[in-house]
Amino acid sequence: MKDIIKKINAALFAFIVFYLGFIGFRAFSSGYPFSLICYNCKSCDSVCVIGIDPQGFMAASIVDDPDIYVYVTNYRIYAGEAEKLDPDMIIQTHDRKLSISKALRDGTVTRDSEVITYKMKARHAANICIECAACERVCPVKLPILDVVKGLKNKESGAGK
Amino acid sequence: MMSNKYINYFFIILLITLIIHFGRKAYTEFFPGEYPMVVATAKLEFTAGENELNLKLSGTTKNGNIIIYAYGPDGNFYGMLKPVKDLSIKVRKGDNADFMVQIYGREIGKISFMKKMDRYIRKVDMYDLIIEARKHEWNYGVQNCLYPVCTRCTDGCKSVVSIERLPMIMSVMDNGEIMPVFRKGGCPRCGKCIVWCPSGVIQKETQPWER
Amino acid sequence: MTLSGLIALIIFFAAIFASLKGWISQKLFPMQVALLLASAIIIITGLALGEKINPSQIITGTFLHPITATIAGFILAGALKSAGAFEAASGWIQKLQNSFLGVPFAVIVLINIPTLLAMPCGRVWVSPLIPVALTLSFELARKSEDKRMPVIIISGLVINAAASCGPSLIGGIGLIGEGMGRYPSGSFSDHMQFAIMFMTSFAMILSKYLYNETVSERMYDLQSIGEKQEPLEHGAFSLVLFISVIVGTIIIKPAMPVQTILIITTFLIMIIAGLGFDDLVRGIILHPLTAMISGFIAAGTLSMFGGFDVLVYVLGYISEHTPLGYVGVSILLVYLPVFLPLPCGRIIAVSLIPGVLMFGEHVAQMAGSIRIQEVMIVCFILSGAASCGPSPLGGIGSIGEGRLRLKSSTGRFLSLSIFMAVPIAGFSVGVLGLSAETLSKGFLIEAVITGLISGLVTNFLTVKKIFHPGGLIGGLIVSLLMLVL
Repeated sequence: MKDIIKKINAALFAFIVFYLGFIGFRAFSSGYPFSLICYNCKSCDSVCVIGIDPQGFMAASIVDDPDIYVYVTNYRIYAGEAEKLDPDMIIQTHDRKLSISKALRDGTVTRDSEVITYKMKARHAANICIECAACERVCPVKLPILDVVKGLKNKESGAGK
Repeated sequence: MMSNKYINYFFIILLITLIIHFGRKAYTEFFPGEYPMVVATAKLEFTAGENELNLKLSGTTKNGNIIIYAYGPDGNFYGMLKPVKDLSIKVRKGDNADFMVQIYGREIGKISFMKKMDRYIRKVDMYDLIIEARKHEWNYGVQNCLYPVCTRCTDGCKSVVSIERLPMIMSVMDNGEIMPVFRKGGCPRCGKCIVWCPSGVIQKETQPWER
Repeated sequence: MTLSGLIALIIFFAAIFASLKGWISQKLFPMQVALLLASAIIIITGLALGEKINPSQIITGTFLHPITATIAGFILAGALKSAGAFEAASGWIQKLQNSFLGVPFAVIVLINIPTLLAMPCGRVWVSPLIPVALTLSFELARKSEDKRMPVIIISGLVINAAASCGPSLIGGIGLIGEGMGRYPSGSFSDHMQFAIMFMTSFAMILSKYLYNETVSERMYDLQSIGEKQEPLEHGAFSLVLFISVIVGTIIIKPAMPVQTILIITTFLIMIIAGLGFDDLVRGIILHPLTAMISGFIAAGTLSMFGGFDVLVYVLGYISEHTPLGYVGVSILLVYLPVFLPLPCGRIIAVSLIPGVLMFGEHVAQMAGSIRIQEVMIVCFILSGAASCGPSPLGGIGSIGEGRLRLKSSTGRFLSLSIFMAVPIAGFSVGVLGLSAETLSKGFLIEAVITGLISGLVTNFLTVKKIFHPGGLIGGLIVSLLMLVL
């Protein structure tokens, strides 16, 4: 193998190891290191009536970023309000999934229409979470998901505490 | 005796554990040591339009959502969670129920949620159901309490009191809504139900907030 | 459907296909590097098309659970190896072979352990079990003079381990499908476990009659040198500790991550056998770990640009505009992870579960049976879970090939065994339905049939006596335990 290709390969393999370490570092810096334990089993997803995927909150704390998109597949919201919150929020309408800004531009919905969400930012999902703790009850490793939800509520955009 | 290297490993793990314990964010809650009171649901004014029902409320909820329910021909409770805007809610054709609760008199039976990921397991059109309920004089209306979406009041009770004599239990009212019912005897005044109730149905006896 | 999603999908599939076909030489750019470079190209293309990039969204596509479980499993395997547990296990297998239950019993129990005590990643079991399986298979090869015996047994073990992450109740792929599809927790597990027993039998039969390469003589010499080593002092105790901990974890299901349990067990073995950290490193294989991580990075990048949404859209288009229809495309969708075998089944499986639910709903409406959606999701997850077996890109099958020093790939017949076994899981779901309560008459009958057939096949392949009691009793014990655990 040529020298340069060996170096590229070695560098990219080192990147992979660094990537794993970086994830661990971000989880610690978010203040929720236990989020690394999450099984990604989606047991929590099956019990949320609003259709929030609570594993998304764990993912947000692993990467220490409240702006990642998580599934919220059964929350009704007015289109104008959704656009004000986040123009890139994904909604479901007429069997299509598209961003709210696109839906308003196309005329698929009006500002007074009620839409069902599909994906939204983790901090917005945390704000609509009712904190019923059904997700915590079914978690196989008993993660304190509500601690993460409370931390994400009203969080300003951008990573970090 | 354990060799030195294992003692070193032990201390490294202990150090990491302590960093995690003190470095993690945890939330403490403060609970008022008071009796709760259950607040009745806001009154409803009902207007039927073309493929649309307008419901006007006399007061809002704490988190801006409310349950709209109607009983079906099978005697079961069908409900959906709706946002409240300017004290009003709209139910349109195509709005499908989120859940179904089996009701036996005042007793609550099995709860089934009717959506899977982003598609319905079973579609029950709430607009049609409410029209049918009005026609046949079955119960229908709105319910501030977010049961069965939320069960925090009874969960709070169960975490403090033994299960045989819970002061806070869920029951079916005369108008068909499912609300918490509070019995003072046996209540330790922990205040968990007050703090944890997301909809404002359970409030401090001494200091209720204005709706 | 977005242009960036479409381009991302094309680049992703091109990178995988080129690596699989050898157009990107693995000696120049291993698959990990190819996937990382593909991710970089996708990101640059997305930026050029004006898409917004959030690196955090890519990281959320990385499933830490199977990676950390695999690392913990490898570390534990290193500790067990250094403590002499494998030599102790070989001794036990020898004693078992000499009993009336004989070789078939030992073989059928050994190769089904990964699914019986299913871990979140099959590699957790492959590391400790392959040395034991090698000892058994070489011994059997000498006795029966069938040089293909090591390939037969190792293939069975490998496909069983590969598929075992599907039914695992400790964060397996099946749980993900149950969660997203709102099915009762644990309802997929038994259907998949019985299908995996059939898959194992198919893999063993196919390797006997379709795979031509045999293990070289040199391997026999190396193996006998290994077997002549004296068993170490703490081997048996370490082995008993390991088995007790795993069985206890499966039965009790403590609210503690399985990785913690495996690491605590490792530390106990270290203290008992006086091991150091260097001894643990012996068990770690970096290739599958780096393959999984690079696969997750690529999938995260693809997901961020909506590549999987484009895939579902394309499949929907094909179903509406070609004679294949929804039924034909559903079958293609179920087997898609096997057509594109990646080092971890989760990479494709999780991203496409919403699409599978959607297709399942369409087909169910056409056929008038809601059960079809359940059949599709279980079959898809099983094929996704098992797909890492035949993957030439760091899959579990390559661990077996490496240990046996085989030149040709076993991927074809491992894939064929998956094709044959997946419909069995579908049939089981179609007849018995999904339920968390599995101690019913229907499941009992299924367990008995599965156990007996697996036993018959194992008897035929190992001792050429179909009705040998060892295989039949072993098969029944394994299948009934699967029902209970």
